[in-house]
Amino acid sequence: MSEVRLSVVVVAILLAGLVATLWAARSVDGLVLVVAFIAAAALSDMLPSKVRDDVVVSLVSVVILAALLVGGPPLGILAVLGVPMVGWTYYTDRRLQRTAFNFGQMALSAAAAGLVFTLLGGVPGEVELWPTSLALLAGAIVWALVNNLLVGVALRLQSGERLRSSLTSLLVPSITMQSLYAGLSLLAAALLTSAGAAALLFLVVPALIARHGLLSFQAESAAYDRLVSALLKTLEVKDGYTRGHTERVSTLCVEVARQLGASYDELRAVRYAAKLHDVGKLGVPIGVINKPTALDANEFAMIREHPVIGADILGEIEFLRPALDGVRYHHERVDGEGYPEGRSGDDLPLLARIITVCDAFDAMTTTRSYRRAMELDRAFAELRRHSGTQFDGRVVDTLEQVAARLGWQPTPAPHPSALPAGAPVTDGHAPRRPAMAPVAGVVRG
Amino acid sequence: MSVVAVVSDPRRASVAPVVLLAGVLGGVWWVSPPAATGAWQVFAAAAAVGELLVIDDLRGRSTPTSFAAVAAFALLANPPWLVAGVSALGWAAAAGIRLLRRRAVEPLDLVQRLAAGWSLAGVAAVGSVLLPDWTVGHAGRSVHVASVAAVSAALTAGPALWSAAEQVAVDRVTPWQAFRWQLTSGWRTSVALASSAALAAAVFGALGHGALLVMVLPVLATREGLHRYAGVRRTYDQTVVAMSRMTELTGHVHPGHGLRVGDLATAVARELGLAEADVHLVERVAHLHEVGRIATDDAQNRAHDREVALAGAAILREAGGLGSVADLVSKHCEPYRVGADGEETPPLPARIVHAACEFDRRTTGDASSGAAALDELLQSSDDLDRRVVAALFRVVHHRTA
Repeated sequence: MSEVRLSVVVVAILLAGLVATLWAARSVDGLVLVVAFIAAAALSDMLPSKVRDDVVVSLVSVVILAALLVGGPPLGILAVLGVPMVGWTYYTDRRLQRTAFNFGQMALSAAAAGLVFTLLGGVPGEVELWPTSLALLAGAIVWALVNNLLVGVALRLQSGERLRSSLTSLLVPSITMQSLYAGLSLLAAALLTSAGAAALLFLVVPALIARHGLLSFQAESAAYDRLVSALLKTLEVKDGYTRGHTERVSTLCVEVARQLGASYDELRAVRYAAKLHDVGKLGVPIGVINKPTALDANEFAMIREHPVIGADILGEIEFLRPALDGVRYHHERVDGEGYPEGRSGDDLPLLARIITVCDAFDAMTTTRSYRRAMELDRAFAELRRHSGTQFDGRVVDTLEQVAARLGWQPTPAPHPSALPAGAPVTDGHAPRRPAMAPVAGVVRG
Repeated sequence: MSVVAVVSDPRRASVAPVVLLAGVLGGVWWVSPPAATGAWQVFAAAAAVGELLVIDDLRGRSTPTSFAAVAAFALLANPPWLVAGVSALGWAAAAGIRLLRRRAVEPLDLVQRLAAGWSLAGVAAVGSVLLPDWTVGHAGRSVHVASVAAVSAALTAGPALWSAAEQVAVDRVTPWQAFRWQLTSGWRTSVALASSAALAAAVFGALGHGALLVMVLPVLATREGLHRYAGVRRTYDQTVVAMSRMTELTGHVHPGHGLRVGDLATAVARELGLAEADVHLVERVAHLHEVGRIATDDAQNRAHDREVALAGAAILREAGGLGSVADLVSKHCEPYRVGADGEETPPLPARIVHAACEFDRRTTGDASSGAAALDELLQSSDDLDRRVVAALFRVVHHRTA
């Protein structure tokens, strides 16, 4: 049913966009400019850059706003025509629907931005710092509003996400980015009108260099991820853990930290610190780590050292330094009965408490060679029973919310020796919300 | 609330007098302002902001974005002494802020800023004399394309020359090698800054000082991109070093072995004239040559180096992107042989690491002195490449001399 409604909305938006385009085509002049801007829009749509995992930047908006500044609303709307040409090639499913929707909503957004720009006294082809930039800024903000409203409606029909929820999560970053784009397009228009098209090179060069940096960054971070997972795999085999233990602990730690308000950069440190928190165990003989019987004093002294050794080694890695105490104290207990220092209460960094809880949780909910995985309810009952002594109650509560939100399931993976090499490791994530990505505008799913 | 502790390292600096002096001079200047195209105060303020926003490159060298503001000021055909003044004032203001925040300040940088201002303005002037008719822009002040090109070249070559001089003073490299390495690692930053400067100069007629405001956007975008890349590269290298230290935990590798071998092997590779990419490869192989220790168990650790090498290579292959490092690690302890067709095995980077590793083993713990170890290497072993051992000899000799 909502499928049909979605199609109706898409067709309506497409038609409205087409009407705006037809109007623009009748009132524009200068064919060369039109073709140039369409080509520029297509080109910039082909070259999006990921700034972070969740933010993708594409300079299409800059091209369209610059067209608006140089040739007024008609040129701005016509520049949108470059977008569906590229969009068609990168969608893999619902190609027709997505292309039509994105074209329609961008044409409408551009029309709305153009209208506001003109109403506020913006004159095409004349660039003066304050009047032009204020009118343009208003236009860009209206663009972001219309864009997100239309995308929100589509998301509502497609995945059932409430309009309010998608608007609150997307609107602020979207307006921020759009304002930056407005600044860039002002620059581009000033260059075009006062120094000629050749001078646009001065703008293109830094953009390409920034893009090169971001692309290399992604390639390098992917390589870094592989390096860390290769290392983890080696450590896990040696430790006799189930495969994927550290990865799952890391996922849980990140989600808990996110829920507790950690910033993006903090989360990055948390992610890797949680993955590598047991690295110090390399300094403990395997026989001691996997000893099924009680440890003597000497052996226990070895075990006690491993968080300190781990933190010491990870100290080599600069960006992990803020998270080192989390590693150093991940075997401390809230009541001060843990090791290595017997710290307690507020002296325990939050990250250490998070790692302790998530580590214990994953150990309980994973099938080991000697027992089956515990159900989540029982694991949480166990965690809560030791809250205030071993674990931090607030972290346990947060983890429970996180597990519910992710639809976390116990991990039934058998002992690593029973798995053929390269077999996929199952773990219990629920799929992330399906977004109608990439949406135009700025922040793509 | 903060999930991870905030780490800060307040480093005290005693450069306050320099900053104070520059500030006083700036104040005097402010009272009797010189005539300039564009308010120099605004450009100095922009330079100060740029001083606080640096772009790190892959070598850990950082370029202040103030160069963009200074270069834009130079492109507006201002006299060299004025441009140098703007550059120095920007530095002083930023240094003042750093001191207030108890950050370190490097007084030598002031010399560099003054030199940059003089040379940028000089180069811009030469550029506009070379081709007076070829200009960009017609509203207000025009900008000469030739001077833009000249300023770009100066911005690219200048910092590279400076850092190359520093490197020559520290390492055993030829000036040309050092200059080339600096150029390849820093040209993107410089070109982006020069472009942004040209852009600000070109729209100065239309936007006035607002040009500086909008110039911030491309500069920030460049910084974001390059910074992130440099950051993750550094993280990767540091993780490799951490992995090298992990091998020591097994108790079968001397503490610091990986780092020392890395240091020595890199120097030997430079001594043998390897390209910078290969020097980096040698360093990685050296740091990771024992990594197999973390996979093999205690009993195997006492076994042959070869098994460790193969286990290490297996881990590194898994990591992807380290294919060539993995190959070299697996071969690094193979004996040196010359085939019938004159082909030498294993490859040179592996031979370098092998020699450096053997040298380090002979000189750590209760082993012999450096000179004796070198003699031993030269005489006893047919498994090492003599050319490499000779280079190692020169490096060690140079270091102990």
